[in-house]
Amino acid sequence: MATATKTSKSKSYRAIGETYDGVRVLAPKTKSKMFTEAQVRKAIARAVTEVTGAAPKKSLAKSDAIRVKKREDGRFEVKRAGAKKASAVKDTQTAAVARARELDPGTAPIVKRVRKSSGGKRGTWRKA
Amino acid sequence: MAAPAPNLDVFINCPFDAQYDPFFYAAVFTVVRLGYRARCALEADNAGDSRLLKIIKIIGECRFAMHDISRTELSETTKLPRFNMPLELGLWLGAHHLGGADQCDKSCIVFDVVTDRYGKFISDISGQDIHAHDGKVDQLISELAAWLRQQGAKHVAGGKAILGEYEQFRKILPIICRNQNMTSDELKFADFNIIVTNYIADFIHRPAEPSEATKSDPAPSHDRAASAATIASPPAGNRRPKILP
Repeated sequence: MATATKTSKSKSYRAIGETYDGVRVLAPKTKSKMFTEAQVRKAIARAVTEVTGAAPKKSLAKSDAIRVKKREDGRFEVKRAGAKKASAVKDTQTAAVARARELDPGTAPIVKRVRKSSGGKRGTWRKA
Repeated sequence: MAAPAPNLDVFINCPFDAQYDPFFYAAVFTVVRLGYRARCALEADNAGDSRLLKIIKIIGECRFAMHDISRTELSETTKLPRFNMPLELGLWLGAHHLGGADQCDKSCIVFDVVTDRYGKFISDISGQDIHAHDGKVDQLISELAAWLRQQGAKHVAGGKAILGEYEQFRKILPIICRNQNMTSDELKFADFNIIVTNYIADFIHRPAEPSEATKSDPAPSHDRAASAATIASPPAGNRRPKILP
């Protein structure tokens, strides 16, 4: 990405992603009247799958990894995918993640975000 | 006081016709790939305003520009040349030299087919460094990428590698359009721009390390460039929308 240069007008750019070599990709100035960003991303993903023949990746929410989620009482539950009951309930997220790692050492557990971060919105899944 | 935000807008001044489309698409791809934002007269699609005023507004907002004055041929129907590109180059130079303090740091690159031809039809800019693309897309990408790096763009892949990525993108573009129930020649600039930016943000990945077999039996350089870019499914959690300062 370019370095800062002088300009009298304050400009703000929205970055829609970053390439593998660290270049921030800026959203276009004008919006498409034909389709939304989400539609475009889906269309590209389908086209890439068609060309490479690779199956599309499952989202984290649909993965089989053990998940850690905050309960209404403020504690954190450790649950296997599809399970009705929690395998463990811990006071802190760290402890819950440690327990999840013990239960399935081969797979990284996934954690539901409790706050918004640069990686994603609150309530979305991340790998622990 | 916080430092002013960088101006990363690149104005692309070139012919807009089917013959020039591969060059135009390549220029947009290169600009976006190097972390800039592509802008051109086609984004001003509003019949309510004067076209010239809209172009002047865009020129005023862009710090960088790419001008291609190579289209000097006469139109088959009118037997007259197109003067839009030299006019917009003139507007750009006028803004740069006559505009206020916010216009004085403008920077541009001018392309022609060959370097020494422009003096015959636009001699007033004699002495400027004109870049030649020789009517070749790879040359345009290489020259434009090198120039943008000079302007402060982060060093990314070289021109050949970007060409490889662009060729992969060109292969996939008709399929993307088909998935949207349209053809690639129906794309407007705003549509193409959104496709390019999302493709580059999510679907360009680090080229695979060359295998031992490749190392011992290297392919010709242009083949290596074409295979440098790899397409893969998007990595989960790769999307990190951020607002830059």
